[in-house]
Amino acid sequence: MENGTKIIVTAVALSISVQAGVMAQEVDEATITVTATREADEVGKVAASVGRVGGEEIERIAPSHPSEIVNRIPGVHVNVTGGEGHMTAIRQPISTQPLYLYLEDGIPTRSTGFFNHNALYEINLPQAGAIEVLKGPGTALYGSDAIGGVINVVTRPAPLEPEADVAAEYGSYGWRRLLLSGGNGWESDGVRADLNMTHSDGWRDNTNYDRYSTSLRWDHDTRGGASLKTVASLSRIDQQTAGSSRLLEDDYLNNPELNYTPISYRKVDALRLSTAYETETADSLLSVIPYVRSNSMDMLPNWSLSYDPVVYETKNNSVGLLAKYRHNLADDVKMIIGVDVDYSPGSRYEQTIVPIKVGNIYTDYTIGSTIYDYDVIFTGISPYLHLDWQLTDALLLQTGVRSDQLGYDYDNHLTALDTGSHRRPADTSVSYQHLSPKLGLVYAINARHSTFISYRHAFRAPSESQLFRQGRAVSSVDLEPVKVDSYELGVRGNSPRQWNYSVSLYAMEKRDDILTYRYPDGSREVMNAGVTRHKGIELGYSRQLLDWMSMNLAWSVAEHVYDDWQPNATTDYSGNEMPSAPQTVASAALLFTPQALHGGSVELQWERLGSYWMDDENSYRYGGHDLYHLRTEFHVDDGIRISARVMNLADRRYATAAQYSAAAFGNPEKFEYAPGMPRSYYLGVSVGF
Amino acid sequence: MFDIHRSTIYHFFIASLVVHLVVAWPLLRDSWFAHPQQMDVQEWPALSIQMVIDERIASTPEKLQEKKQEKLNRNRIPQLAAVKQSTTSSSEEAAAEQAEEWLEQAVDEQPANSTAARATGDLRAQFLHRVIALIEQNKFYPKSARRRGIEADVRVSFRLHGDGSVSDVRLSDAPKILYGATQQAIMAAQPLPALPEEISAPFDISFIVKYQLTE
Repeated sequence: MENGTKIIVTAVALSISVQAGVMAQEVDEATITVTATREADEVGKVAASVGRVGGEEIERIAPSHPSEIVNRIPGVHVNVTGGEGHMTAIRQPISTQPLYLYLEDGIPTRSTGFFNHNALYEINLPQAGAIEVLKGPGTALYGSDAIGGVINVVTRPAPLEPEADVAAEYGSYGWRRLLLSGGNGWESDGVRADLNMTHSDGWRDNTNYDRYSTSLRWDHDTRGGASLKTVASLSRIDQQTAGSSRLLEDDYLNNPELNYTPISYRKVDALRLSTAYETETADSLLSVIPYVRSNSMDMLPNWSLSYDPVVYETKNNSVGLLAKYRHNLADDVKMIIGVDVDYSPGSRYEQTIVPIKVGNIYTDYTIGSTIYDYDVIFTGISPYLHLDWQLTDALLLQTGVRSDQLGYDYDNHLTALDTGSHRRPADTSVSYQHLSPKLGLVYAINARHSTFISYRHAFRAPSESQLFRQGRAVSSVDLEPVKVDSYELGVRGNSPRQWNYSVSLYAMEKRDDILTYRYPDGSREVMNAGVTRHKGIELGYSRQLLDWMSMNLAWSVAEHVYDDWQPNATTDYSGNEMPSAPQTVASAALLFTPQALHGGSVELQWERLGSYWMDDENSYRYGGHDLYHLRTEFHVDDGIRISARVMNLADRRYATAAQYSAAAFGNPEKFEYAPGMPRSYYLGVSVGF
Repeated sequence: MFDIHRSTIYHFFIASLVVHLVVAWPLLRDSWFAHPQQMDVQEWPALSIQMVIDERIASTPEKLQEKKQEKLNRNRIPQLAAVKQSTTSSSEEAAAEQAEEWLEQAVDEQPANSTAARATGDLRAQFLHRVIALIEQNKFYPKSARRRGIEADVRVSFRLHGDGSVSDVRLSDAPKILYGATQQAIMAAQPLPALPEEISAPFDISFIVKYQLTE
C-alpha cells in the first residue's frame, strides 16, 4: 500500500514579456501547477487486489464492530466473536490462525511472534481516516503473517484549522458510545486527539463490554520539506466472556441469550507509539519509522472450558524500526529498498482452573496448578527489495523479494515435561530464514481499465504459543513454517464518481499449513498439515445510479480444500473441504441521498454468508444466513448530524460460528452455534465545531 | 503492566529524541529558530543540499535531454492522440496531454531556430520555457501535504547568471512542506543551462508554483 504520488500537470500557462534594454531583464510570472489527489490512487498500478473504505464512509457507517466496515470489501469476511472481537476470513476459512497482518499507518500493531486474531479491536476504527485491505500474500513489502491479506488502518491527519467533534450514540442492550475528536493546525504543526469510550451490556447473559481508546497524532513539517508524524495509540478492553460462547442447538434456537460460560473474561491493553520521518524529492523518498508497542492480555478463554480449562496472562513489548528508501533509477524504473526490524520480548503465565458446572453453565472456578511460565524473545530482521519497471506506456512489471530472518529465544521457568496434555519444551532457540519472491504484470488497457497477473510467494513462522505452549503435541518446537504460492488474475476499472469495478481470480497452495486437530475427546493439537488449496473469484462493483442513488456490491465465491492432511494413522481428511469456509460471501448496499435530506442519507444493506462445513469430516453444513441493515443520517444544521441505524432488520437468528462434534467417549453428538445479535437499534447525534 | 508501559514509553521518547536531534535537527533548527521570508540558496540546510546533489548525479541536463529524446523515440505522441480520441477523456487527461505536448515542444526548441527568435525577441521566451521545463521535471506534491490537505501558491524568483548559476533565490511565505518541496524542485533542476550569448546577463526569472489538491 505504498502511497505513491501521482502528479498530473493540469495546466501550464506561461505569460512572458521582456523588458529590453535593462541590465536585469524581467518577465511576467509564469505558473507551474502541481495537482494531486488527497488519497492514494495507486490501486490501478498494483499487481494485487486492493480494497479501500475511506474516512467519510467510516464516519457515515459509524461501525460498532469492524465487520460493518471491512465486509463491504469483496472477498473479506470478519465475524463477531463477542464485543468487538473477531475472526477474519480473507481467501482463507474463518479462523483464529495468524494469517493476516494488521497495520496502523503501515506499522504492524502486533509482533509476528505474538499474533492475536482480535487485532482490530486494538485499533480505534470508528475514528479512522481509512481502512485498506490488500488481499493475498503481501510479499516483499510485508512479511510473515501477510498470507491471507494485509489490513491497514490509516489514522486521520491533524486538521489545518481548529476543529472539534462530539458524537454520542445510544443503542440496544446498553450500548453507549462517546467519540470525541479535536485538533488544530499551525504554520508547520498540527495535532489531533481522538477518544473512543464504548460500553455495552451485551445482548447475552454476562457479556458486558467496555472499551477505551485514545490516539494522539502530531504532524510536523520542516522548512526543508521533510515531515515528522508521531502517533500514540492506547486501547483498553475489558470484556466479560472472552469469545463467541457457543450454545447447543436447542438453546441456540430457543434461548440464545443464554451464556454457558459467564466466568470467562478478557482484559486487553495495547499501546503503540511511533514517529515517522519522511523526506522526499521528485525522484526519491526516504522513510524511517522507529516504534514501540506493548500488548498484554489477561484471559479466561471460554472455548476451552470443556477440554482444557485455564487462565493465562500474556505480555509482550516491542521496539522496532521500519526503514525504506524509494528511488527512481530511471524515468521508467522505481526501486524500493527497505528493512523491517522487530525486537519483542514477551512472556506467558498460565494456570489450570477447576470449573464448577451447573447443568450446561460454568458458574465458578478455582485456580489450579501453574502449567506454563516462560519468557520468549522474538527477533525479526527482514530486508526487502521492490522494483516497478514501466516496460511500455501500458505495461508495468512489479517484482520484489524479501528475506526474513526470524527467531525465538525461549526461556522456560518450569521443568520441561514430555507427557500429559500440558507438555513443556526445555529452553531452546528457534530460527527461520526464508526468501519470498513476487512477480506481477499490470497492463493498462486504457485510461479507465487495467488488468494484472501475479505470482506471490509468502511464508509465516509459527507464533510463540504454537511453538512453546506445547499442549499434548509430541513436539511443537519443530513446527515448520507455512509456505504459500499464490497466483492471481484481475481486471478493474474506475470512472471517478460514476462507477468502479474489480474482478479477481486467485489460486493458492499452502504447504505445511499449521492446523489444529480436534481429538474425539475434544482436546486439540496443533500440527503441520501437508497441503491445503484455496481458490476463488471476487467481484466488486459500485455505481452512481442516479444523482441521489448509488450502489455498492461485493461478492465472492471460494473453495478451501485439504489436499493432503492425515493427522494420524486412522484419520485422513485429504480431499475434504476445510470447515468454517463459506463458499459465498456477499454484501450489497443501496445508498439514497435525496436533496430533501440536505446532505443526509438512507442506506439499506444486505449481507450474505454462504453455507460451510461444521467439521473436518464434512458431516454437516451450517446453512448460511442473510442479514439486512438500515442506516440513516440527517443533517440538522451544518455541524449537527443525527444518525439512526437498525442492525439485523429482519431479526434473523443466525450463527457467527458453527461446529459439529461426533459422539465420542459417551458424549452425544453436538451441534454448537454462536448466536449472532438479534435486531438492535442505535441513535446517535454528533456536533462538529 | 503499566510499569512496563512507562518504562517502554520512557525509552521510546529517548530514542525518538535522538532521532529528532540527529536526523532532523538541521531542519528543525532552521524552522523553529529562523523564519526568513526569503532565503538564498547558500542558506539552505546543508542536509537537504547534499541529498539533492546526490540525486542529481544521474540527471545532468545532457541526460535529461537524452531521456526526453528517448521518450519521443518511443513514439508517445500516438499514445496521447489515442487518449484524445476517447470520448470519456477527463479534463485532467486533457491537461496532462497539453502539458506533455508542451514539454516535448520545449525540448524540440533547438538553437537552430534562434535566428528568427532573436529577431522577434522569442529567444528569451524559449530559454525561459527550457528553464521552467527543467523545474517541472522535478516538481512533486509531498505525501505529507497530500494527507493533510495542504494547498498553497509559492511565488519564486531568482537571478540566472551567464554561466547558468543562480543567485537571489526568493520564495514567498508558504506552508513549510510546500516551501521545502519548491526548494527541492529548484535545486534539483540545477545546474541550469548557460545563457546564450544573445541574452544579456543576468536574467531575472519569476514564477508561481501552484499546489492544488483534487478529490
